[in-house]
Amino acid sequence: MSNIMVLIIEDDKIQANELRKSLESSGMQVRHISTELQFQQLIRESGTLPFALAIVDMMLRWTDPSPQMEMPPPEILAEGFYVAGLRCCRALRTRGVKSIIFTALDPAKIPLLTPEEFKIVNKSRGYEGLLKEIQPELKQLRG
Amino acid sequence: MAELATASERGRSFAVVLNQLSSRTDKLEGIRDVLSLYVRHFNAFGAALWEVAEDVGPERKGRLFLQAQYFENRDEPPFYHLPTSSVSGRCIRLNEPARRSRKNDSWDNEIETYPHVLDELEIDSFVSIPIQLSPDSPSPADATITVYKKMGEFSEEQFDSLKDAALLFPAVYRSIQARASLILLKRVQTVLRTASYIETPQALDKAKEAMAGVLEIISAHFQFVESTIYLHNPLTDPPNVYGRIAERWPWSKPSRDSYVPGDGGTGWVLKNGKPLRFFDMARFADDRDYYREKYSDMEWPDRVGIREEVERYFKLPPGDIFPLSYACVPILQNRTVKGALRCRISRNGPYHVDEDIMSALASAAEMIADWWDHWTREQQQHHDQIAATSIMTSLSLANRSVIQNWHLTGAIARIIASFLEICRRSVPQADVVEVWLHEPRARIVRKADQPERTASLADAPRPVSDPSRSVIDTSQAEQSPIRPNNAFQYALSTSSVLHLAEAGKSPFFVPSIANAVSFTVAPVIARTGSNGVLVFASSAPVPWPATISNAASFLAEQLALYLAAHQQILAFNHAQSRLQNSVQEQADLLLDFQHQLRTPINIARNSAEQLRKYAPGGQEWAAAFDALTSSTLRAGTVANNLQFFVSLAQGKPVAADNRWLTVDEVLRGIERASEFLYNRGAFGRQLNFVFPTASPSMSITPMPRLHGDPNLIALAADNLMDNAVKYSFENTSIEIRADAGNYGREVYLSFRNQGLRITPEEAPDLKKRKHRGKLAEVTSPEGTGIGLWMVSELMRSMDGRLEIHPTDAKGWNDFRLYFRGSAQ
Repeated sequence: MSNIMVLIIEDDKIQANELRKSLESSGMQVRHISTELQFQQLIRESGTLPFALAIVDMMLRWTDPSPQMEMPPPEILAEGFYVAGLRCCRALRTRGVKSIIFTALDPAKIPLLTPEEFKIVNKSRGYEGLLKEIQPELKQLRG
Repeated sequence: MAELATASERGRSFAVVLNQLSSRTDKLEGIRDVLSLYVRHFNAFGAALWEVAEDVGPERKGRLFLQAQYFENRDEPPFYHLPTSSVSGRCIRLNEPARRSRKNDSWDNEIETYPHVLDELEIDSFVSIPIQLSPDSPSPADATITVYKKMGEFSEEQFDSLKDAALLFPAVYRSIQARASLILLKRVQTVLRTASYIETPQALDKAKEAMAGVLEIISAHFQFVESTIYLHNPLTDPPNVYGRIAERWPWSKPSRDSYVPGDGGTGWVLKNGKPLRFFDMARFADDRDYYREKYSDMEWPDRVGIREEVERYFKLPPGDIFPLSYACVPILQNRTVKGALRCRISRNGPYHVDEDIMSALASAAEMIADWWDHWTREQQQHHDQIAATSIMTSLSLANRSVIQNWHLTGAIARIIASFLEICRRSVPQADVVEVWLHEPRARIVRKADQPERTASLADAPRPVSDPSRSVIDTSQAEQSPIRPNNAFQYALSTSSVLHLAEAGKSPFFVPSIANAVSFTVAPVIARTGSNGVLVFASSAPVPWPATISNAASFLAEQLALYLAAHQQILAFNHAQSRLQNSVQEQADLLLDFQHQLRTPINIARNSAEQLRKYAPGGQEWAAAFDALTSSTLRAGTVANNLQFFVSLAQGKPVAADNRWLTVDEVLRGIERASEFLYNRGAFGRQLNFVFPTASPSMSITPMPRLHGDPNLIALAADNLMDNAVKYSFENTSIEIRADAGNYGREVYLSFRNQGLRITPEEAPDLKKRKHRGKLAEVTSPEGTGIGLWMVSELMRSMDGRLEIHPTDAKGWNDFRLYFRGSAQ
């Protein structure tokens, strides 16, 4: 169990903390990043990603306010931040990492290519609900 | 006595016969019959009526012209004119009858004129009796009856009888003249009455036929060798151009083009509206001074080709006819020249133009003028109807198209372009149709170039346009002594259609449309203020008749309607768009609020679940409790924002319960609300509240109170605090303080943070609804962009305001809530 590492991409620190605690109490190792820019840096800097699963918030900020903050590339500015989480999920998929979208948004409003593209769990179901949803994925990982 | 009685009886008998003849004669030819009666009665060979015209002839003594003649077995008279030095001339001047006889090839008195003609005719005697032909003549005599005899001379008795008989002639002459003229005019009237305007394509041909009929009557009456009518048709002819409507050559044909229509003497008549008569074309050289003086503004010799005419006179082929004299009278309507009636005289009947002929021609011309005026008016009305129908049909189609296309982008440009095409078709005389409209900045701007002309006219001028000149700046017009576009200004200020047949001769300046000679400028006056002009321009001097005036006026009104409708539709679209945007915006914002609300609710729910897991008072329990409290407060703030947004979006005024509050209590309330939420909420910012006892900058003690609603202030402060936390840099301070301004009349709360930079250009926009800074969007995508707008609205309801100060040199952003201060 302890070798399963989960990536949390969530820009709300309170939620991220609580989610981290829930996952860790279930025996998982957790890494949290809070902005899309951090995710991009992670992708750029890591050869192979160690994560078995990623839990991704949908509407992510690009970066935290800072005096010398890096601006997003034009294509991301054009696409907007409403689908930042979806961008992350698709990037992770190319690296072989499964993703679950954990969002407060209406699932019907998320522009998936197919309904099966990514599993969506609404935040209204709470962390328990999320843990139930990721059980099948965990079983599969445990083999 | 018996002889005397016989002579007297003969005289009475002659008078009776003469009276009978005159009473049954209604043609001018009757005068010839009268003369033949004299010939037969006095056993003579021939008789002639010589009439004098003063001021013509050598030395300006006058000249006698043959008006009527009868010579046995001769159609042509032996001579047409005599000098006043002749026997008949002296007879008139002295008012004394004259008798001359030839005996042994020698006349009893000197014969200066045409002795060879008398020889050729073998005339042995003639008698000239002076008469007063015209009752208005100032002289006792203005004509003679001259009777010629072969074989022997007139006896004294015959001479006396002739004197008596000649006294009868003027009355008979005038009787025949009057009756013949009356008959002539009646016939002309009959022709004209039956030739009213009929609405057919051949209407003009019918009019020409009527004029030919009139000419036939006149020619037959006066024995004219040629007669022509020129008339100006306002619908087809340019100004000052007269078409040759009809012409007659009863005994000859126009084999020589020595006369140019509308040129020469006829041109002079058309130009001046005065009658012209030319006594004897062949004798022009002798009478040159007379004509030059009488018609001083006319270039006689060159204009009418007199020399050629005289040369032709001497080279006439056998049977050809030389016109002796010439009359041309204007056809006038209300003193305006509408045309001319030109005639030339030859052969039998009157041989020269006298006052009676001029009078009869003038009467005929008056009748023609009345008839033509009526005809052209009806023609005009008919064409107006057709034009109106055409315009209405085109506009009906255009309106349909307009209705279908209003909603399209650039609809008005397309509408104007198609409208100009309608104008072009409706006013074929115009080569260019343009719309110029006022812009707000006192400029008149050409809105659309018309498509190239495709309609054809017989003498169609080329298209003209000048795309380079599309704007006229009238802002300087008042200062300039020459107003640059006063044709436009005139049309707009008088609201009337302005016609400029020849713009170059007009005092009005007109826009420089290359090669355009004449313009019609119709004002376009829309109630919405889109004033302008509709300009029809032609490269020819177009008369712009009433049809065009009406069409231009109508089209301009229609365009004004389009523009007004366009303005209204724009306003409607704008309102609709605003409404739609508002509805969409509200829907979007409600979704955003929903999302913003869901997050703290979810956190609260999860935190509550976790609280159950941990023992109270422990570290885990405390963290969960903080999360629960924080999210609950956040949800409350969002809910409050939502409530106020809905009210504001529905246009409901914010109900403010304003009262006087101390700065201290207001700041303490904000501190209480913020402390837990932001200091213990793991946001990494330090909150610094400064509680002043006096105004730091004004040195006003105590600190003035502020006037506001505590709940609204709390909501406004919460929004500013939320922004300060979201957009400030981590590990920086957020400073909340208060101060007075304007000598205590104002109090403000300042929320300062060191965060995303706000430029001076961007600062005013941040208060606009739905406006979000680019950097803010990058760092906080959940924002709705209405927080600062709502704060601004809340402040307004408290008679205060929100001021956003751009980032200063030390990196501080300052958001200030200004209230009324108690020091006022």
